[in-house]
Amino acid sequence: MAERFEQLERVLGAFGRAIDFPAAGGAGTDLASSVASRLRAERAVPRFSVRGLRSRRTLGPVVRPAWHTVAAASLVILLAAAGTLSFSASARDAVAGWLGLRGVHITIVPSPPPPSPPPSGPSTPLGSDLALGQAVTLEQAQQLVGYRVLRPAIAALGQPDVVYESSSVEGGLVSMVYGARRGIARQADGVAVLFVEFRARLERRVLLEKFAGPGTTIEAVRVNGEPGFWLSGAPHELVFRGPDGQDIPESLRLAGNVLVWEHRDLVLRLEGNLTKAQALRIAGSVR
Amino acid sequence: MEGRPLEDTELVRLARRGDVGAYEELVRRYQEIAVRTAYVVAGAAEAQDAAQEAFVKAYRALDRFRDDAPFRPWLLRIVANEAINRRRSARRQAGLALRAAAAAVDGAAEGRLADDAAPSPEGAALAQEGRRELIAAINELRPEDRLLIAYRYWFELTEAEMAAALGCPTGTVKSRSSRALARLRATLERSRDADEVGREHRGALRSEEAIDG
Repeated sequence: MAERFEQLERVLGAFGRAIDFPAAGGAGTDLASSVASRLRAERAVPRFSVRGLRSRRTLGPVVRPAWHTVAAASLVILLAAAGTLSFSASARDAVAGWLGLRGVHITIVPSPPPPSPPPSGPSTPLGSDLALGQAVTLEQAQQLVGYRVLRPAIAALGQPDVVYESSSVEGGLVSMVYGARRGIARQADGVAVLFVEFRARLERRVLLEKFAGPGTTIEAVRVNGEPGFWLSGAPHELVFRGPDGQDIPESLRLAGNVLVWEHRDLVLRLEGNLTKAQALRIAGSVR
Repeated sequence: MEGRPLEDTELVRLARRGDVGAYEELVRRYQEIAVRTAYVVAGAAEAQDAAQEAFVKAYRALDRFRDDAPFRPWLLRIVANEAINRRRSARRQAGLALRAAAAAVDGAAEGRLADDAAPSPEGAALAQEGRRELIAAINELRPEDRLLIAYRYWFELTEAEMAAALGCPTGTVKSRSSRALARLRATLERSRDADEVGREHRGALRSEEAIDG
């Protein structure tokens, strides 16, 4: 630590005592017992195992099949290296597995994650409930991240309403939030389309997505010749993998359809109340 | 529980096999720092719920937890993510607060710390209204920066733990901390400047009143 912060550091060290930290559990409740009774009530044994993911050292840029044992159930998974495939989780609710892009895994689990509570509270900048990082201008985003920031160049979408940058992914993660557009309904929080980009590096951070539930449909697609997936029909959860190889569950409060695809060394993701055709048109315009 | 308390890794192993009691023990071990972490990110309104939800999520993700890794920073990372997701109208609700007793000036400590304080913003932060000013500046920081400060100075995590809890390489913890401190100082400087402008303004008003009077 630079010497110039010496005094500030001393002050901060002592300052912790002055802060009104809440006690765990609050009045008359005990956090540990609450958690335990919740887990017992839900019979929430760890739901699935993706241990195999860790031993998988590299994920090529090409879509590949893979399979794993999930919880007690054996599993099948389905994916051709090229071409189109459709999968309905409802058709085989005992089946789980994952599909991968570089830097992205999509895990299918037998039961859906609990629905995200709708955002509430006073009005804030569009998308601020999505924990996307700090609101910035496009220029600032470009300065903050280590790659050229791309965005959809399609008149129907126009400019993003708010741009966010987050360091939660190494190299930076940029998110662009769009409010209602002609032909694209907005969701409860006002967001119609979310476009996210980050650099996926092998052996580094992996964005992992679990999808679940009846009606989840996953389709392999190509965007400008590069592999991607179109996922529709169910809320989902994200899991980020840290540089230490640990997976961190994380949930994003948006439950639209999702297109996720590769673009050179970036992984791009487009989410919202979009039809597949709309999503592919927007994705194809990204530059 | 009899005998020596079990190691975290042992409790994790038991919990992974479905032993909720073992997991409850882990929760008890880390609930305090979990709630504090959530509080630093999301404020008092969300702290308990965020911590509870994070413990539940961590339980479900235990299968993906690497046995040789320490449990606490992994947990904190989940807590922080959950808290960030819950932070709703951040600026208005997510602030840290001072303890009632601490809001009053703790003369002895402040005097000692303020000795060499003369013109620096840190020094100013230690003067009469220093604590309010400092907490306001901390509250203006991004939650990520507040976390860095809390982990380092309040919860006293090691650099390795900070790296794991923040999800960054150990080598960048120092530089990230420096940047967070630089932003904190810049905020303190701004608020000090604003104060001075305010004082001058008030001073000017008073002289005008004097002239009018």
